[in-house]
Amino acid sequence: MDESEKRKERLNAMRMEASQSGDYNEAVGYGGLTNPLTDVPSGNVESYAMPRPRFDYYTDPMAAFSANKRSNNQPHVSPQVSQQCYTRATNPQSPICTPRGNYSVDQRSQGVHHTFNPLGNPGQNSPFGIPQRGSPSAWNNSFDTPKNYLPPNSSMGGNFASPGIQRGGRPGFHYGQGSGQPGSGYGGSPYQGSGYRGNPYQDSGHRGSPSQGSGHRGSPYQHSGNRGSPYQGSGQGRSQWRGNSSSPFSFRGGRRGGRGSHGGTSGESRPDLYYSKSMVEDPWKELKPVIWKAFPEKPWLPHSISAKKAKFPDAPVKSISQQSLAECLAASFNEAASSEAATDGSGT
Amino acid sequence: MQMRIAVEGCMHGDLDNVYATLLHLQEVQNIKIDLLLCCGDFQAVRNEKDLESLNVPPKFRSMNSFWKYYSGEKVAPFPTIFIGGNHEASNYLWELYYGGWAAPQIYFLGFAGVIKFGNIRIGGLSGIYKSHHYNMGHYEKLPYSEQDIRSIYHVREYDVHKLLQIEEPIDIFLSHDWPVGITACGDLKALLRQKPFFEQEIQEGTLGSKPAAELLGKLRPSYWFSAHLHCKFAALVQHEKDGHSTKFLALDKCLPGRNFLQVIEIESGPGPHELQLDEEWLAITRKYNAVFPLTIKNANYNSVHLGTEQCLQFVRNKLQTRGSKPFEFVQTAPCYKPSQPVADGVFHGFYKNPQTEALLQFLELEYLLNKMPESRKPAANLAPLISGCSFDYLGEDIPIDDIDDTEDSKEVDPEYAQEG
Repeated sequence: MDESEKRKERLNAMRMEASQSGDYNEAVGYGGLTNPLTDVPSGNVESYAMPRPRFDYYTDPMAAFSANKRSNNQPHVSPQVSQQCYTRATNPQSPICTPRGNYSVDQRSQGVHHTFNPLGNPGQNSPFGIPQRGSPSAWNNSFDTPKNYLPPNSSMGGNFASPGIQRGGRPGFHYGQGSGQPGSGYGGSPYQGSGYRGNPYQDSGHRGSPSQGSGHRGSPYQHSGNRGSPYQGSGQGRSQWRGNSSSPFSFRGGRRGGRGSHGGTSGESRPDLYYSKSMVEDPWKELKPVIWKAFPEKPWLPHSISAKKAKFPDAPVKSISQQSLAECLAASFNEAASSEAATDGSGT
Repeated sequence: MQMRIAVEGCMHGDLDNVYATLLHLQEVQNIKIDLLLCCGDFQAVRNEKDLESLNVPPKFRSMNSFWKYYSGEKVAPFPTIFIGGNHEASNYLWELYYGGWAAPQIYFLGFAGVIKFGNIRIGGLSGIYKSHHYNMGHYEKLPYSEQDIRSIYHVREYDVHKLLQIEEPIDIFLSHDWPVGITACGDLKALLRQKPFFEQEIQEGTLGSKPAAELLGKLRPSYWFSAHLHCKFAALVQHEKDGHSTKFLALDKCLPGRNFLQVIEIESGPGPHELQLDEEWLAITRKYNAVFPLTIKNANYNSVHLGTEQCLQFVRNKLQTRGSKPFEFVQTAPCYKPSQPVADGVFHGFYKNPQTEALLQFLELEYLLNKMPESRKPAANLAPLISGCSFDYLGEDIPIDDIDDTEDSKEVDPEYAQEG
């Protein structure tokens, strides 16, 4: 109790001091006292004039995060942008490569022949020009447009009808699926008779071959008829990001589609959160070629990093000459095993 | 003409979000994507049964979104080619060992494989490298044991050996784990700032795949893409042999704010493009299929009797007759029905895939995939080996649901920390 009183007095004094210094409000407003775990008195929140926006962090943790993400992202571009033109963009940092054309080993002697060109200036520096291999045609003629898709009518294995396949069909590229497709015949399935209902790519326009460069497609992210999909709704709410228990998007462990939207905002409802301009920039632009040595005699690290390693003393190594054969074998095995365990460690 | 190819890191069954992001990118950049490549962990899960062959902790076993594309509820908006990683519906990928359509518009490159898209030649190696299984055959058979489910995706020497036979230039190569040593060819300091716990493995020369590194030196593709380590890392490799260079890029998995996509442009013939079987790869497949190792023993290459040129001529003649289009997609396993849970034991999980049968018939080869040699008792045979080794199978089983690390990349990486 005494401590509480003392703490209050101390905090009051601090507040008075801050007020007198004239920058109290500013400090609060800009997050000078942003860490409530350390700065907010536990017993008297009301008496502390913490601005409300800061407290939103608790009820809407992603408010801060999303805002930060958005500020870091590129300006949001409306998904209403037409795709009618597939003209080259003018991003000067987009990587470009010339394929090896006809596969003659001799061509390798011509050195590095893939160069980065701006998108707006294609093909330059290509020693091979445009390769003419094969006879380009549609992407695998076996593919059909969804309208011709006939899902199988049996639920068991065996020779099913080949979905999406139509001899001589013109596949093109499907920018989303049209609605109102033929029923699938999944007995008892929610898809019965619904075709592709609920496809979040619900397309309001045509889905002809983009190579034709025509036609306007509406937003591919319109949602309709999602029949309980986790993506149902707009998914715009910031508090829905993490998919906590209060989130309507919380479906981890649910049967419907698993956790396809990473516990909250799906790429279908908010693709801008997933998109980054760097995805079309040249990731190699700052790099210089390094001669390839797959298995250098000594593991390679820059000197600055190697020096750090030296700070950690190596484990004492018992002289092999003092070991029995069994000990030698055990030591070799342990070394190999620990090496492999370490290798296992990094990836997924 | 230029072809725009999008590359994605680890898919983790998140097709919906990746495709949505690409559609958005197309609009924002006002470009058209011709092809999507995925560097593994695709999780081509068709139904609940397939989840039993997916190496993830049970609580992370979820259908995600591939099943929609398999069933036909959705169709991929872009032609998609993928390799396998270490989180896969391994029973399904095994059906398509030689490669094939996993779903309409979605092509699996095989445990090892080469395919052409237009005039672009794309090779790939599925799985991850683990030295203790490298020199074994593909001994795993369904139903997979707890050990099988973790070893089936480990790279085998046989598949690498076949890839090493390639002489014609490769434009793009995919591997799930990185070639060992690749970190020396990029901004290592930046990588270690992002993933400081890589340092020890880099120092020890154990971060990455040795066979992938060997393939990089041999094949010298123009591009090499990888995933697995859930971060973006670019490297520029120059080959001593001919001065040719390889642009390496590793990418992240699909999460908001993460670097999981990259679009590159490659000179190509006029589109639209189609997928075509690769003549040289089919010849290699034909040559080595007779020694396909299906026990713990590796292939006996002394038993290879067919000559390379002989196989090439055979395949060339066949392709001239039939054409080079891959065999058509066929559903094998039942589709997932969210409203109808499947009772245990209703179906088994392995099917002879008609695509595989058709390809082998085309190459006049025997179907070997579901043969169970008498000597094959992997669990029993390997028990002493495995119990004697302390390698950490579970070390690969990092929970993939690490959404919370999006803000904490500067801290200890939860993906790694959770491994223990």
